[in-house]
Amino acid sequence: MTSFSALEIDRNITRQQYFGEGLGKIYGNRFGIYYFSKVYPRIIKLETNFFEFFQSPIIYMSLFVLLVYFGLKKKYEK
Amino acid sequence: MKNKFALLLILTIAFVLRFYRLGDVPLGFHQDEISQSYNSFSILKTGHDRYGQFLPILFRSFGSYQPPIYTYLTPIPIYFFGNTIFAARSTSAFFGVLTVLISYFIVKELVKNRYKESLALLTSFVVAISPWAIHFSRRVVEGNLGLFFFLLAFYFFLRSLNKINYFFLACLFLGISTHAYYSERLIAVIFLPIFLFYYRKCFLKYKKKVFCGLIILGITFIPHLVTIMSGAFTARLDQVGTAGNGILFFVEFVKHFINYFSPEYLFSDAGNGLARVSPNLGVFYNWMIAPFLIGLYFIGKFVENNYLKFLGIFTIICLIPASLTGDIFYPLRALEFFWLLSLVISIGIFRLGEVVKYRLIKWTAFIILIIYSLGSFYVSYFILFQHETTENVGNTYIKLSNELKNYKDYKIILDSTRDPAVGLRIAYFRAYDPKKMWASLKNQMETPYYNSVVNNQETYIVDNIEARSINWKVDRCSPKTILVGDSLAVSTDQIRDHNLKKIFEIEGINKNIVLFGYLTNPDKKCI
Repeated sequence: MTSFSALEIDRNITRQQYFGEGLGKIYGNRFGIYYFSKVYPRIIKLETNFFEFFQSPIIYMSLFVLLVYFGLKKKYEK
Repeated sequence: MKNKFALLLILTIAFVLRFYRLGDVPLGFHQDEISQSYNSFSILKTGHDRYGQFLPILFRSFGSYQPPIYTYLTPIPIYFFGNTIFAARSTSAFFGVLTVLISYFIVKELVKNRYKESLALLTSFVVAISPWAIHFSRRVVEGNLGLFFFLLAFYFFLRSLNKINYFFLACLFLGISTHAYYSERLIAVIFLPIFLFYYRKCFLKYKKKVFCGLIILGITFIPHLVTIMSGAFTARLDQVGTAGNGILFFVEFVKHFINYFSPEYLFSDAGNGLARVSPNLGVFYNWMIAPFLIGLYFIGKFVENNYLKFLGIFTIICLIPASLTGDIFYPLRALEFFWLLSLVISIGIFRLGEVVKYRLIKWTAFIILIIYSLGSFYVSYFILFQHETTENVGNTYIKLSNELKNYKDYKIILDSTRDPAVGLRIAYFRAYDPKKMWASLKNQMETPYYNSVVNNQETYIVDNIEARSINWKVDRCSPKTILVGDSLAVSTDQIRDHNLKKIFEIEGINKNIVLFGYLTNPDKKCI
């Protein structure tokens, strides 16, 4: 949790409540309520955490350029 | 035979993903969609648009202009399926399936012989299931047609390097793509000179044929010349273009350009506006970041040497129109770019498949990923999306159209302050006579049809319904009148002060009341 920004914590909690109480009630489906309140927000949190690594344009652009560069270098060295 | 069957299967998947519940999801009907749809209906019935303009080159739409190809193709499905959301969207869905097919043929040209069949199938499959490709095929958006015609032109340009006669078709479709969407206008004029220059050794041998091809392209550009001086040609760019000059403009351009490579937008969450994809979903699925990175590294191994550098240049060209606009990330304007990324992802998936030796493991992992992808797409697109965008896209106004049929003897004022398309939406579903529509929009034609500034304060009159802002001074005293609007249109104070009587409510999909109908009571306060 500590790696989340305040905004993201807020967003996820809000959405978790929304999913569980809002959508769950509309669909009236026990599996749906469980999925939207417990499982889905965790998937989203996990995904958000993972993609935080790539938030800086310097990091992702450098990574992409280096991958292409070394890939092509290897190709032309052969 | 095996490959043909695989391609047929991919096209079937693409078809199902694009046509399944097309009329219901995305929920509602956005003002841009309704504008195209009613104009198509009007063209089908009269050959004029809703303002009475005969066969327009650009279609005027709520203060802007829409490119014409979509509107001219949609009368066909409207003729067969009637005035429905399904009919209006089916043009886009149909071309979405064709984009999957053309992807197969393009990749067969681009990659080395040894891999071409497998990679062509894989790329068309990635395009078939990718959120960006499905979403824009399920909306009335011109960008999807622009992508198809541009890819078709690109395919013929590649073929023309070996057989020059394809150059004519390439130029024809490139020209058509410029009438399909705004991004393609810019991409086309940058792409062609660079392509000709890059492959000049091929083209210099056939100067006459190249010249003839350019003449064909020039002919397709004639309609642009008619509007270029009017201001209508660049009206959209004026509305969405990046603000600022000089260095500030350049910095903004570069920032937006780089944003299109953001893994967060591409693979995690592209936002949930109309021109993005559905909630908590990137342009691609999250797991695709792995094959994307692998694909970047191995792209040189699989793509023909002849095309490798040009694809790099092409990637930059594809992002120029989108980066020139003020939006941080707007996938609709960069569809060619996402198509190129689909190729990179396919190369990554193929390479991973090469590394894993056991067929059972390889196919099991692949099938699990596909099930996961389609499952997460279903949750985001078919469940969350409709709940998070309902009121914005006017779904309740569609319900309202049916409700109002019960009040034929009343005058109905429908508040259009927050959604200028409410009247047009009802007109489309009721197949309202376009000639009567011209009469109600006559004042819009007092200025030239193609103009840089368009008055978008329009009053739509459909039978007994007037869609406009409520004029309290007059409307509250009008007898036998129903005022219809959302909670912002009619406040509790106004209900009390004017003795309005609530006679109906329209419920939204989130079980909340979105629209209210109030009967006026002129006897009490207007005497």
